[in-house]
Amino acid sequence: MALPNFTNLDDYYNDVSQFGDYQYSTLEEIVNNFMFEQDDDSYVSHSDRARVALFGKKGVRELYYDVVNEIISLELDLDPSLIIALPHDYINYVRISWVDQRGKKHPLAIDKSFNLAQSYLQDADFAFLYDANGDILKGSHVQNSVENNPILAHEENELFNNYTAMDFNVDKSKIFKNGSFIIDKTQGVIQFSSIVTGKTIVLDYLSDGLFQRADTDIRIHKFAEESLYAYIYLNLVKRKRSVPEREKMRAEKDWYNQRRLAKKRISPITYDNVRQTLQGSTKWIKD
Amino acid sequence: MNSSLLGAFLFLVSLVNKKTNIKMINTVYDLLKTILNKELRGNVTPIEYNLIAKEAQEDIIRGYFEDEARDKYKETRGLSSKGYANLALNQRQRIDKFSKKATLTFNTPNFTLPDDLYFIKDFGVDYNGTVVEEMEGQNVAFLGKSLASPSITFPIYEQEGNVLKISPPTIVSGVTCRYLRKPLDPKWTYTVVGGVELYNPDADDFQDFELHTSEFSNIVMKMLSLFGVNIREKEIVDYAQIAKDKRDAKEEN
Repeated sequence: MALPNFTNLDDYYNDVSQFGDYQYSTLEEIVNNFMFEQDDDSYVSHSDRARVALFGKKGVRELYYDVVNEIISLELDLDPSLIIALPHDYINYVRISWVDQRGKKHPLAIDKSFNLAQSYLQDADFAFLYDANGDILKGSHVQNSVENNPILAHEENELFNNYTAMDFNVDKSKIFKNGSFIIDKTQGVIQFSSIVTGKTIVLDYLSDGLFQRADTDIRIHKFAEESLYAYIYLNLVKRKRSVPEREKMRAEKDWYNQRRLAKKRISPITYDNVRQTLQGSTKWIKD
Repeated sequence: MNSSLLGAFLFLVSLVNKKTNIKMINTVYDLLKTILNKELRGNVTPIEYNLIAKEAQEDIIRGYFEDEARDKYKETRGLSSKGYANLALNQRQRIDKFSKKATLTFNTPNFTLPDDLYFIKDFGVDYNGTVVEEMEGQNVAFLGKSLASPSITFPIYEQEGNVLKISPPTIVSGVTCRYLRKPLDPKWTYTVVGGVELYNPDADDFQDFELHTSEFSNIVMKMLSLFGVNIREKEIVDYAQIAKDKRDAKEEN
């Protein structure tokens, strides 16, 4: 394991860039450790380092998706178009909220009734229009969400504000007190409802831990290190004809088990978490 | 000549060599002349001797790699021991006698390998402490456009003749190579006095065998075999082959 970049603690506390580094192992360390661990008797002793690095990166991705729980938060002011481009390293969202003046987050709901259809331009006779290269011309789609119409949006607010538990016929899944959004993966944008116009938006999202990172900067939490070794080993033996099936099954079990352990260590269920969650259990409608 | 007698004789000669630090090349030459001339089978000229000596030495060194592979296989099966009985280690020591390390010079766009290069060691190319991994040509193109494309952290090289093509191309210095050098060709040097070649180890181009003294009998067998073929003497070839088979069988077990 490489030593940290400081020889005394002063160096550490005076260098903001090193804060918290000790929690992580770099991919370089992991690949070197893996290569050294394999002696002549190992099934993967002749594996190329490049292949180990490849599976190392794929493993980092896999673990970033649902194990290491490293959520990136990005704060943006919403412009009048109500559209925000997806962050450059975006893979999936965790939560999208607007922030009030006290800094408290108000989660938005996803509204699947937004129209995201691709639109082709048509003339008065409904025939498609083409450019000089023969490519079809595209237009913007119809914004038929009620929230993009100020009058309808007002009506919806009224509906929510006047809603009581006695209104049995209201579809509560379509009432968005904090506003709503939809993600257009094809266009690479997030479209918001008009309720959040002018507000500051916070995107909590997941990345894959690799984007624009030099190989030396790719890292993984130490709790997930063993599971990364297990992932690399499994993928190295998986397609080898010379490796017995039982070894492949053992490697697969090891990967699942190491992943489970990493998940448990990174997101433990503690008494305090349970107590805090239960304290809010009597509240009917949550923010 | 009786084969068991010759074997005992070779053993005694090798012991004398070790004791007296006599140059092996001369002892081998004297012995070969004695054996080959005994029944007027023919003479061995210095030129012939030097040619065959080179071939025998190379043959023995090439055999080290196969021997190490076999001994390592035994080791992984738990059939090796520690200390002097660690055959894989012993083999490695024989090979490492030819180990060298050199800083490679960059001649745009590649690094030039040393002239005396025999084999680059496994993981032997190094860039400022980071291993530069060997990659077969057919994989380089795929790798370049994959998730694991070469970087300063995980660089690769491809050998093209006597140059190394290192990726990424930002690496232009700081590359060292650990390798096995070519063994020097053994050369029995002489001066001619009265029409007779007299041994002269002080000549500038003199070169003894670059093999351990324990290889003495091995060299003699190998050279006997090669001379036997040269003079079409089946008896000598057979003798050398039987002796070799005996030794191999002993090592296998």
